[in-house]
Amino acid sequence: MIIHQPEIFTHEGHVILWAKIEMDTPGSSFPKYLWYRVPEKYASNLSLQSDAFLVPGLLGGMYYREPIRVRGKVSPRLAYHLDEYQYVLSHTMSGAVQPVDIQYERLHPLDANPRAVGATFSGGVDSFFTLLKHAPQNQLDPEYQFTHCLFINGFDIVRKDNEKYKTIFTHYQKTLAEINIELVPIETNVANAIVPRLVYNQYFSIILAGSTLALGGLFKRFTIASSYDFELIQKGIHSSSSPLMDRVLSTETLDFEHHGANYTRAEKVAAISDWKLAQENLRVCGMPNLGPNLLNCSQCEKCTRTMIPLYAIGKIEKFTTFQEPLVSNRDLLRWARKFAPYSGFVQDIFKFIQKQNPSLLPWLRTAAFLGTIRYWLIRLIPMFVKDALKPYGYFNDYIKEENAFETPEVLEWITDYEKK
Amino acid sequence: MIIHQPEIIQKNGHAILHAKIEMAKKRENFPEHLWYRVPERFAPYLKVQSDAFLVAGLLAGMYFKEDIEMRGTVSPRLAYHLEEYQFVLNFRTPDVVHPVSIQYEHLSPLEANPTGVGTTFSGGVDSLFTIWSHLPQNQPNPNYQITHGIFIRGFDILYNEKDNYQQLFTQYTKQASEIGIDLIELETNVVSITHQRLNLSYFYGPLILSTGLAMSGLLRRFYMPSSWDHYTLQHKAHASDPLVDGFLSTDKMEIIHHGSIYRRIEKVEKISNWEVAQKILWVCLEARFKEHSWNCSRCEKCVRTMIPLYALGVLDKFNTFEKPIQKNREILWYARKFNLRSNYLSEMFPFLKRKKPDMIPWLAATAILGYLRYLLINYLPKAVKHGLRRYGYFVSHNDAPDAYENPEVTQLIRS
Repeated sequence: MIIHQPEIFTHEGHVILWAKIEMDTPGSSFPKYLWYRVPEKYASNLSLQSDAFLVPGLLGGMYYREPIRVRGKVSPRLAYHLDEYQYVLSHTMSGAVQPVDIQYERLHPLDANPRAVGATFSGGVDSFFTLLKHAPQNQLDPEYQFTHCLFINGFDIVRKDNEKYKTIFTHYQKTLAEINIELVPIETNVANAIVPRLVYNQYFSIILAGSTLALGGLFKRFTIASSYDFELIQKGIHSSSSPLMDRVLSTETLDFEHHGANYTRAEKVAAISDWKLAQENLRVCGMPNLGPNLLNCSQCEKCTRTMIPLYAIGKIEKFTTFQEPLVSNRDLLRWARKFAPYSGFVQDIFKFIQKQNPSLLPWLRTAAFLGTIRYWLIRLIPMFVKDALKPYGYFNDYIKEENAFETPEVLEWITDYEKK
Repeated sequence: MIIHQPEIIQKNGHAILHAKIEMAKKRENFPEHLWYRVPERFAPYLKVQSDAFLVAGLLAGMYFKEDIEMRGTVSPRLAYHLEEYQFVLNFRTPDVVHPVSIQYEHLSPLEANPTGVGTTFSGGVDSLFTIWSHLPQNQPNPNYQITHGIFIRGFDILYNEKDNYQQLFTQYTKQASEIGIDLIELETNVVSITHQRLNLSYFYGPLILSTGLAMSGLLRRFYMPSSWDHYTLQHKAHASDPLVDGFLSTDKMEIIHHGSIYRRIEKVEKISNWEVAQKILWVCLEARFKEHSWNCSRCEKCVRTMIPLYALGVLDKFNTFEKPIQKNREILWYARKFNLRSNYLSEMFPFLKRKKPDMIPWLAATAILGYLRYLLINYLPKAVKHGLRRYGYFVSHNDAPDAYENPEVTQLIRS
């Protein structure tokens, strides 16, 4: 596998940083180009180091068992830690990916002096919690207060929801400006390094790390909000994002931090429950096709498991972004509809409710019981039946749809540029 | 608990970095001062930053559940990570250590531009492997090559074992200089914090790292040689692993936990043909030193190190074993000090299958005998163990409550 020297060009008010990826494996579905696109005003912050392409590209090499040759410059610090990163990734993912040898054309740190401190911002619980903890009232050291956040198109929003991305971005940009944080939009196709070969939820951190490394001239410190707490990590949750793994992707000029693993999700929900910014802007929903002005469907698993702790502590009515918030104990049964018994969050919710509002436990237990039955019934449905139901909107995995994370026009511009 | 502003004393050819530790309640055998002593030539690198004392003292605060007041200056980066660090230690040992709040007088990075790269130099497998891995022929990037090794007195070797320490230090200095490493003779009493309170084999990490932090005016990067690999860490998390050690990095010193992607036997194999390791390897748990053989060859660590070396056919090149294995049957000695909890058999069997399959029956016999012995010892009543101590059984060389103190240094600091 060869990761070619990155290049940059400007097109219609945006700048595209891209690199060609050349695979040896015949028929490999790994993208031929990886790219990042930002508005022209961030052009000077883009890094021509190969770091931003090595991190996602590494996944391709590890999946297809191809040694990697990296053209261009790579951070020595990143290169040093990649042995361990690969080893732990392979170990954590039970062999789905295997360590490969990497040859570097040149090891050299980025020639830049970035100043910004930030994190990704998706509007979710983890994001808001990390943002809250780094707000000046909670983080007294200005070196650790956030100045910028990244809002990534090609992370949890698929290409066909592009209009929604723009609407949400405009809204969040204004919201975060109120607390002196600049929201930076970045678009990328790096998710194609994961899907359809690997499980998206297990490897998403490469999108966050790659996007940040692409803006290596901007960030000196970047925090990735934890998705799992230490208890789940210890139980062996399969994820490339952890306090150890995210940190080892640091370079000489960019420190990656992983924040929040010492809190459970329910604790994070409680922590942000009194924050007006979160109350008016929380976005947890994973459903596509919601429409540009709707942030949370209130029916999916993520919406329900967010609403339950809010309801338990009596704060749900303050959150204005749920289309159909829980209003009675009986509404907790909604959890059964999309219940995921092995998600790891079930225990967290039960423990939280036990402490905060034990009177809800019978409803939760009923929801869990019904939900488990439903879960197994769904699993037993034959594949041909599921396929037949797809046109009606059932069993669609929207992230595996064609071009879910690709913008064909960008590919066209890249190939045109390459020909010149 | 108050950790006071550190100070430096220079006397008699040494420099001592020390800080007073004031506990809210009087604690038996708890050190009044923490200190680090180095030869005078390293004095310019000792800085009155409080990081080293916070990292070591934090264990005391967490054990005694005393909130900490830090006098002096602490690295903002270290301060930032300590909430999570404490959480993880408590998460792993919930009944032993507990998070405490820390108040800082002043947060500021160290005012220095260190250029050195260091590690501990104990002469053990892990330490030698880390050094070997960072030799120029194995680590082409000069920014990652090791320039300094810290040989700690007051950790494996006590103050009353002066001759042992000197013997090792003389040899180590010679070998270290041949590979371009400047050896720092560092004495400290930090183990007094955990002695007879916390299990040192679990909590050694922050204590060792504090010695690196004491030299933060010299070292910008410090490698902590791993004691456990990732397989073992999954089941047996300690206070030293790639995650928690990294939390103790400061703005000027990057701490890297090195070697966890290798199993111990792999490390032994890697260094087996290295002349430096062959001359100075020291793994022994017993504190008995002959002139050139520092390893008794009968304790658990000695035997489990000799077995792979013997299987590789290189044991005769290692000068430091008093009674090296010469026949397959001699690995039965492993049964005498077999420790079921250390789980090295899971590495040894596959290794011997590949390298020397005729040893396998002997290893299997050793495992059976060793397991029986281990059970017997475990179930021996305490009264019996106590009675056998007068004959030298169940005695540790560090039994005394002040085993990790050096009265001479304590006196100097007080005066």
